[in-house]
Amino acid sequence: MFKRLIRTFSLILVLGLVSPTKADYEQCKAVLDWIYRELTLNNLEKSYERAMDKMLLGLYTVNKNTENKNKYNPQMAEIFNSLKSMDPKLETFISKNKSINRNFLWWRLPENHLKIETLQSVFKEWHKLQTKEPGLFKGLPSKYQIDNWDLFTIDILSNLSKYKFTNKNLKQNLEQLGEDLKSSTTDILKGKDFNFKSIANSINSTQFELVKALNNDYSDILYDYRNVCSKEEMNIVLNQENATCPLPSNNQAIQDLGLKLTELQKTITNTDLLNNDEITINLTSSPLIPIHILDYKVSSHPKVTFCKREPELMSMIVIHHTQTKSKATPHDINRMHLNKSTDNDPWYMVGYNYLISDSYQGASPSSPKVFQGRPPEYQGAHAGGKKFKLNKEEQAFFKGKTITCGGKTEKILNKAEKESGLKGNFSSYGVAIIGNYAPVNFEEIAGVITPTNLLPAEQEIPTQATIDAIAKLSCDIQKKNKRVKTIVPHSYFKATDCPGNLLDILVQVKEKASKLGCTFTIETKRKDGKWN
Amino acid sequence: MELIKKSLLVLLLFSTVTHASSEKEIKELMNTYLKSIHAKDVINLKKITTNSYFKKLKNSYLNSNIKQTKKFRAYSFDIKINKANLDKNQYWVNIKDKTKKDYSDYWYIIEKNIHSFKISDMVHMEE
Repeated sequence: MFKRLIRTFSLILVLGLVSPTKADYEQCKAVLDWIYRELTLNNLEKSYERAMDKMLLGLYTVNKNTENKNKYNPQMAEIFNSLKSMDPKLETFISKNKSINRNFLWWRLPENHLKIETLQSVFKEWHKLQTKEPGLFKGLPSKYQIDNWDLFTIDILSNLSKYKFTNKNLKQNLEQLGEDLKSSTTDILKGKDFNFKSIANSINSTQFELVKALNNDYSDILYDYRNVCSKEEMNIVLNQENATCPLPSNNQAIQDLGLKLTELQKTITNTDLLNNDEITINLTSSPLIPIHILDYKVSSHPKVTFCKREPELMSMIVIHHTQTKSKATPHDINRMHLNKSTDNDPWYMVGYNYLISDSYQGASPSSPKVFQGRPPEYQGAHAGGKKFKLNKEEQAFFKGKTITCGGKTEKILNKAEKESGLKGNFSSYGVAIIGNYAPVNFEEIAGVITPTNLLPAEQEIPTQATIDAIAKLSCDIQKKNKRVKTIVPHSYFKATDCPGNLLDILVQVKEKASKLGCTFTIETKRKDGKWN
Repeated sequence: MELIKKSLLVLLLFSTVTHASSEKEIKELMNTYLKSIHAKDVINLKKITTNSYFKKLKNSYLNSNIKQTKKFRAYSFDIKINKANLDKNQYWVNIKDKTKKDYSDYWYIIEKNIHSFKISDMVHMEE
């Protein structure tokens, strides 16, 4: 469908340029912009993230509701049986695994079972199951259940993945996601906890590959149509009978587009999913502190790139403060980071991987909350400055390992040699505490002593709750990735007053983490001092 | 078609001239800012900054006991001007003394209004 849409965009573009009136041309531009902003890059990403969050919550709920119940469930078995057709090895695996309760045996179903062979089919079946077996989803609010908008989103994605065969990462990620969803269903049927973490990683990776693919492949066509009209304006265009693009009415592609737009308009009108409705996922592995997932705006700059890294490369946590008012929201920080971007160095989104707030979404100084920033499997933008030269131990460790930046996979040792070292962002998670923890500061410029921190009145003293939140988050990170054993301040990498007086509480963070069963070392300077 | 081409050229030329003019104005603004900071010239600072920025400046510097001991050297600074990506009337400006090697992580946020530029904020961020 995307291919057809893109062709259609081009067609509209060409025909629009020779249109007889300026009003018609403007309307076409408005349509294109709406498609771009509301349907493609921004909205598809948002919708995809929401659909996947909902699938996770659904899996979680079903898992909880079926715990310790060895009942034969025909609907679940039907899905399970269909999954078998997606994976021929599944049957062998089941027959060898004696722990599976025989009540779940898939052969009880008739031969003409459904054949679910794609991601969208899994979603469709899941959608049906919600109606057929509401008991399985007991406790899950209806707004978090899969609906038509999610099905449509997955439909677009699946078609996109079929079309975009050249984008190997996206294809691989989508396939991996399908696999993960399958294995989760199997686990649920077996009465086991499903691998939540694996699916969450799979979803994040797919989402970023998707946005990257869209940015790379379609931005040349779509970029110029930014900021032209709003969704509301588009609705006006759609609601006026005569307000059509100046194109031949017998053009099939345009008719398809018109139908699709009308369908979309109905869906948007009938759903509240496009509101800022943020979903919180509680991990089954009981984290020490929940991580709230937000729906961030991301850069649509054509030059934007980011690096994807393997968890095994990670080794440290970098502590920052945002040097803003404590009431600044993660979205404010994200906007600031998007605004900062220059033409040559645009940032994809907020540079920190995690943000801790004591005021956003019900958080308070006595009960701060953790919000995910840039997903952790993507390199952050927070610890630039000096590059570190690899020591012998690091060289041995990184040998043969790779990182993917801007869609290109490169050996880490080659990258380090080419760039004369590696930046701190590469192997660290950036954790920012929202607020100003630094004192007033001055700098001499042209003979003038000039203030450089204008928030002395706002300077905060870290509370015990903040220390606890950092410790719990660090510990949760370490539980997921044992290699992360070091906590450093931002000033480890460069001369900066960040993270202000948070520097003084790192030892307390370490002690608190220790009580939670995690072991960290605190470093304020690189041990071997090898910087470039 | 010819008319469209000409219009585009005019637009392109106009945008280049506008950008160059903005850079000049911003540099002048920053020079005035430093000069006013040096002299603690409240009237001028109020003119070239937004209310919220001025309030912060008052708390951090104007009400302090800091004394300027050196002579102000007009235009003796390097400047880096970036247009913001999202907010189209916003510029990110970094200045440093000519004798210094690196820019700091402090960026001035400059808002362009119809008739003038004003310093609206200062943020701390990685280069």
